[in-house]
Amino acid sequence: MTDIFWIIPLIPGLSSLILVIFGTKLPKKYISIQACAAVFASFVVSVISFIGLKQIPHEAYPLIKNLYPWIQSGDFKAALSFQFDPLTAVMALVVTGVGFIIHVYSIGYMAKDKSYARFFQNMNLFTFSMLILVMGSNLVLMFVGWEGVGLCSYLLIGFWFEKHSAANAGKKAFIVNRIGDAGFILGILFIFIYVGSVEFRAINEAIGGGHITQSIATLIALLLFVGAVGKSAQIPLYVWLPDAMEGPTPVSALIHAATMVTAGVYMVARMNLLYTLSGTAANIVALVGAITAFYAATMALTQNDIKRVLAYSTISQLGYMFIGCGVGAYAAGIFHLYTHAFFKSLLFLSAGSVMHALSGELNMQKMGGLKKYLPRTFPVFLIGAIAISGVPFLSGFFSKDAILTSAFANGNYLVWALGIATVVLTAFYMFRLIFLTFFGQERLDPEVKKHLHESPPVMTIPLQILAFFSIVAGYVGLPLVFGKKLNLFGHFLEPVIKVSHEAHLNLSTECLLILFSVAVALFGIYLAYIFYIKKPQTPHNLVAKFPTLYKLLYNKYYVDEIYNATIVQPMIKGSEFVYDNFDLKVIDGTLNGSAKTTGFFGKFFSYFQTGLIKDYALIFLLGVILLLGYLLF
Amino acid sequence: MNSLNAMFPLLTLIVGALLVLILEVSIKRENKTYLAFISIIFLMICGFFCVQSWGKDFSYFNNHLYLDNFALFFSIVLIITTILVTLISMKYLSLQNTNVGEYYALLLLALSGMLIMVSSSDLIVIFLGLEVLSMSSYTLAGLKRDDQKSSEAALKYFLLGSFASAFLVYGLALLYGVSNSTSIAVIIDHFKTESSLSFMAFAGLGLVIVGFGFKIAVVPFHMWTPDVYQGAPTPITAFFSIGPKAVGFAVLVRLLYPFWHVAYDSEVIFSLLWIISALTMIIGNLIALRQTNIKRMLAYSSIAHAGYLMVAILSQDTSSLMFYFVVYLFMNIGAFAAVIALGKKDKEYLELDDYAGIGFKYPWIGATFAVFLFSLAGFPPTGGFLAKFYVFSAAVREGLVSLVIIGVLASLVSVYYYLRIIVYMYMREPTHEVDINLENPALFLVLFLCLYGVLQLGIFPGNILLIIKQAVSSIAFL
Amino acid sequence: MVPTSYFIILSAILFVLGAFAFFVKRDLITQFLCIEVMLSAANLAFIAFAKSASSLDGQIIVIFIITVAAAEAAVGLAIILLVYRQKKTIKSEDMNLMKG
Repeated sequence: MTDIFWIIPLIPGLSSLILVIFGTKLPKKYISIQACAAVFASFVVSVISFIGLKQIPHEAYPLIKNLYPWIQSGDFKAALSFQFDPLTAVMALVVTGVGFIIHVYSIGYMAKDKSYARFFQNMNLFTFSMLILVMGSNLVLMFVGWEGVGLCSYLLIGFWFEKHSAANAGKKAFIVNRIGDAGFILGILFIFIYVGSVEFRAINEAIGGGHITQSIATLIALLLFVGAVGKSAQIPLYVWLPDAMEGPTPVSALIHAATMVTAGVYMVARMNLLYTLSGTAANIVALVGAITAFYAATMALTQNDIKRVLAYSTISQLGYMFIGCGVGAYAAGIFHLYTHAFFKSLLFLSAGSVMHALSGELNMQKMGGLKKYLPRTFPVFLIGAIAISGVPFLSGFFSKDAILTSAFANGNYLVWALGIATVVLTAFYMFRLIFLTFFGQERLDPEVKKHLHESPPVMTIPLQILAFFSIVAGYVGLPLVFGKKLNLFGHFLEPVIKVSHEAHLNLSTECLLILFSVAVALFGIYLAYIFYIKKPQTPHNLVAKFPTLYKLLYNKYYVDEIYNATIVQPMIKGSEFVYDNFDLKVIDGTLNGSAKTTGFFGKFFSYFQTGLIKDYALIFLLGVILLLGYLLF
Repeated sequence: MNSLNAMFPLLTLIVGALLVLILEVSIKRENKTYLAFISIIFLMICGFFCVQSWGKDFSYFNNHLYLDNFALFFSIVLIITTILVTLISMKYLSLQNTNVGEYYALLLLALSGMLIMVSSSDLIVIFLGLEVLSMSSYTLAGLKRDDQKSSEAALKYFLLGSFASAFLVYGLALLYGVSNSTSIAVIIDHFKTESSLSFMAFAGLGLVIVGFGFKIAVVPFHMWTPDVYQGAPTPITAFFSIGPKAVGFAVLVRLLYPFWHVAYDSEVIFSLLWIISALTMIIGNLIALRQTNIKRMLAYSSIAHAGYLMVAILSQDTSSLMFYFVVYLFMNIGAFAAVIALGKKDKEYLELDDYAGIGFKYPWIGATFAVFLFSLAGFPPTGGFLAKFYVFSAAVREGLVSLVIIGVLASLVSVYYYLRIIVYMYMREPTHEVDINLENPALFLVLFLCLYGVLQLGIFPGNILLIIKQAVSSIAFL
Repeated sequence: MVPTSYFIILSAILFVLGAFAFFVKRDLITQFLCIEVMLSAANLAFIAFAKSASSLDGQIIVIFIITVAAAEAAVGLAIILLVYRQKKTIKSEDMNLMKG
């Protein structure tokens, strides 16, 4: 049963194609059923393949299905072939599982939108691309998926393209991602030059066989990481993600939390041998991850837009995943990716539910006291917040802890310290969000209050499912403290991710670390409680006291402005200059000139085409004479 | 397989043609379309026989018939061409009042001539095949009997075509004189072994090149092309733009390839073809710029494509040549099918002005036509891009850099006239009412198949390349 | 005996005459006859070569070519007749509906 895995990506692809062709003619009900059923079918196939995978010996990994010899140009070969191994299995399950829940949720959320078919066709296309990305057995196919999710993200962020800001956000995401992609392509090229193949197996064999020196490994790993930085929104290419919140909320949940942004993490984990070999590159990954985690968390502190807080928190959590990969704990990084997919999509969808209830209101300062109006949304939102904060016994706790412990064990104390600091900040801003939204005074617009209503079951039931998984998903990867053999997740991934030199701590140290981070998380929550429930005037006092710091944070360190001033504006000015002087004068001049010349010659030659048989015969004869003359003399 | 079995594809076609001719007498005028189905059945049987012989031993009738994979590949390409042409003709003929049964019989006969040409090893037999093809073609070009342009096209094709055949025959006579045989193998042997070649040998070879140069329409033997293409019934134009060209090139491959490696200096033939190729690409594309009639424009475009194919001949890369043909088959038939789609009773829309606004009025036809034009212009991800890419990269490998530069510049020029149609379809306001007959399932099937072919070859060319590899490795290189 | 080269020279002269007459003459029928002359020139060459090499191939080929010429005549005259019915002329310079 395992060899059917290759149809996993094809089902949503086919569904998307059908919707592209017939979408506008089909009834809404049919569209939603087809779109959800396609993703669900892929999920079922993923589960079947996953079960099958566990039954075959590790030596048979990865399973490969060669569908088509796609590109063959000299030595360069890239096949349309899929592979299935534990890492792929995890990713496929997350993408299709969480994807399915979000698809169902979208039925309710998008019910009144006029471009219903376009939405689901893009969502299916996105699922298809993401599955291609995680299942492709070579870098080129992965890159196809990589670009595919980029394209879908562009289409979905700009889904309401009539809105100027949405169209702009779509463009921004696309352009920033392209910068990263440039690095990624270069990385693929270098791999092809030094390995002679783009198949993952061949690459791993080349690295295992010592055919790649450390410096080359570093070069390639860093180039690929540039791609990951773009896709996974790390410093300095994170700027697109907050703006991407212009898209519909299910899109934010699916793309910008659960799946697409994790592509970078997946890629690093997939190429783990390369990063381990390089060492330097791995350290840079960890450092970038740690700085991003902390930096994004500080920006989340002051945002008032509920979705933006979540966006910055996504960036920050992605930073955690990179810390995991960078310190050699790839399994922990993927583990966090997996738990994060549940609680972050839960948070986004709950936020969507709040927005839905408040007729699209996003500003937390205009909410408050919603607990009693949204009895079903509130508890699941709370579960999500607790999970992300790292409070014990929910999923986020286990995965975050695995990462921080590994960082500490590896001696990366700076990274660890930044991670711990981020824990405080995370707990604080999440509960700030909870308190501002659901507790305290009601600050609703009267107009909004009139329409206040809880979301329909088609939206809240997916939330409850996600909440359930946010609680229990972590129990497949218990830390060492609880017992030696309980890290099922890590064991499962072992065939892909060789656990070689992960330094081990003794139990008491590990216990202490865990307790410390728990304490820190609780402290963060307590702080939020003081700030926003007990003494609601504290934030204002603080703002008054440190106006510069507040402004800096509130304006997101002015990074957008800095990019605008240092990169975007000079580019625009420069290109305008080039356009005025070079394009218009030199190029257009030459072009018009050459167009005129070619036009003239065209006229000249067609002059001979008189339509008279005798002229045709004459030219034929002249041709024969010249040809014979040339041959004979 | 014995020699008789090897004749099956050919026999099938001839039996089919005769059957169609016999039935034609007893079928009413409005029911002639049934003959198309009969001829498609025979074409499929013929194709089946070709596929059956794939990969078997290939020499029959004492080496007079080579059924090697190379011949079979071209046969299958030509059979597919004919099937597609038959499909696009069905409705066209009744709309344009040309509903005669001979049409399908003549198509089958033309195809049988072409099959003889690609699988024969003797120049006289090739000449006979050529004449079978030509005679059917002259007639097909003039089948719109009450249309003056069609008759004129037939006349010009006939006069210039027989003129060119006369040169070919005389060339054959001279080659026979020097080598005492008309078998390609013996002639090439003569060129290989003789230390000092006579005047006659070169003149003979030159005249043979002239004869085939006329069929594949390379400059300066191309003058007939635009007039004939414009005047002939449109499906026949599609047929002309692929069939005779494909066989011409197949014969040139068989004839010229052994020459590149002979002891004597092949430089002179090489540089001669170099000049022909460059001229063809330049002149074809330049004149196409000025055309406002779509069929005439496509005629010049097909001249230009013959130039690109000559580049493939020069770079001695048969596989890129064959790949180009497969792509060319789909994109060109597709483009002509789109042109045919824009027609109604007794009216065809062939001027550029007619295409204004078509993209919005008939979005499916417009979009597929646009894809074919993009492919002809050589944009990725269509097959046209890969085809050009393979041809030019093979040429660069062989050191034909300056020819490739000419080719790339020429195809840049071509982008202008291809895209101009798209600009008209999508960015111009229609100047007059264009309404078309949409009840044409066979035509839409062809449009779809060609679209699929162009995209499949552009995105996943792997399988076809494998087949071509098999075909090339088995060319009977005498 | 007459040397083979004489025949070849004669056939070459015939051929060139036919080719030039084809573009000098203005009448479709005459032009068509020019082509026949050229084919006959080729036939002559074939026979002369066959004779000198005392092989039969050339003579058989001639029969083929004559057959082809006959078929060409049939198709060609039909086409010329068709044109004549429409235009009431067989002057070759009147055939220029399409050009450019």
